[in-house]
Amino acid sequence: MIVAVELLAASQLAVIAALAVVLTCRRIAIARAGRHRRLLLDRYRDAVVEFVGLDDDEPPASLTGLRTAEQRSAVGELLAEYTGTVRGESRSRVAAFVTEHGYAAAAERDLRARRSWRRGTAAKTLGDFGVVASVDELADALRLDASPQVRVSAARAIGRVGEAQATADLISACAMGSVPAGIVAQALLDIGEEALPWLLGAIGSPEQRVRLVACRVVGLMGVGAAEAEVVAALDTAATTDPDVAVRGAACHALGRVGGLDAALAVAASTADHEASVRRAACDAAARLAAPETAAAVTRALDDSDPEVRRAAARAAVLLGVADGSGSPFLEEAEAELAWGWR
Amino acid sequence: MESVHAKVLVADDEPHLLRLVKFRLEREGYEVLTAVDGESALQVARDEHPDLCVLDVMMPKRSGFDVLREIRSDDACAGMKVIMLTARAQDRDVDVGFSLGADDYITKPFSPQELRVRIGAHLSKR
Repeated sequence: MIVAVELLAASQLAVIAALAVVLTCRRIAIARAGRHRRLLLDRYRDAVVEFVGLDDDEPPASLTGLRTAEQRSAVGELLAEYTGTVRGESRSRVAAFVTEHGYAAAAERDLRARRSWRRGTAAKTLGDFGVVASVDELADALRLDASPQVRVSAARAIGRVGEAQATADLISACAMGSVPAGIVAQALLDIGEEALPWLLGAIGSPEQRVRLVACRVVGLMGVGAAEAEVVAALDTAATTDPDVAVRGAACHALGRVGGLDAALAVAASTADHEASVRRAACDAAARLAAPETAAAVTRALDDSDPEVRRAAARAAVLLGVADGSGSPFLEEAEAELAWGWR
Repeated sequence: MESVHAKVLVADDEPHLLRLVKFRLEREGYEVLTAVDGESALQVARDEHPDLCVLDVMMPKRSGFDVLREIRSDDACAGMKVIMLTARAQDRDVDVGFSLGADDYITKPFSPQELRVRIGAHLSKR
């Protein structure tokens, strides 16, 4: 009996010792691989910095003709890291290089990898590379990938590439709820004014979250009042959209767009039946500081909702239709203005 | 040759960007000093008196705007050119930068060529 117990204990100790050896060897192997990777990155870093940072069309010789997958992987990682910080000619030059030398294709293949972290990294890499031809693959990932993190990474990457054709895919992802609205909004802002035609269509979408994102993005985009279509679309949203948040977002956007028509639309929205929209309209009037809103702002000083009266007071003081006396909100607005609030 | 003698401080907490800008400016013949946070940027600006500073806005310890404010209020740093290089691209941020006394404002991602040209233009006005 005692011998059997001793044998059992000994075998358990042997198993534990074997496990310890395996784990130690594994840790050593991982540390060695990490060291090797860092050495590779250090070896190619200067060449990549030189290629990204200078105006030469020809890449340094050390970046061409790489033989091993490890070398190519290290250079691909460095190219993505450094290209992600630049725009203009440098970015275009690197995009051409990664296309010609197969780095973009490798990242596109990784978009179909089994592990989600690898797919996500591939999406980020493609966004950093800025290769327009990769946008279709990113749009597929945005639409079809099972992992929400990969879809987010794909949405951000599309914005980084800045290809307007992908705007519809971003809006569609927003409509389906497959990517958070804030991520889509940032990607659309990254694409910039070229996304405007799709955004104007999205303001009339049947999906509330799409209309909301579209209004906010159009407002943040900073398109001028010269874009009559923009003001008309926002005007319609501010006055007729069935959703309160969308009407409010449209008012804010009109305040940023500016111009006579925007001012008239904002003035009309100060009479909305929802207090939050009236407040948004008064905030927009303060931003516009246009005389066309003066009468509406003056009426809003007597609004039934205190927050609307507060917003109206700010607009009224800025417009010069009221001085800092007569109500606590006007005094507050006057004091804020004196402190440089605008 | 303006660039041969000019001293430029680049302050940014992003190592990739810092390395890229340093490399580019050194190739142009500038003497480049670097800092990875606002406090050390201010220290370098006061100790080394660079001709021009390239400042990120969002940095550890002190923001680029704080550093700019200190530089502008320090007589020893009079005449120092300052370019903000930042991801903060809102009109309001640009307003703040210029109102604090920045000579230029460049948004990230940036064009290395554009940065080189703007630095050259500001230094030639000294």
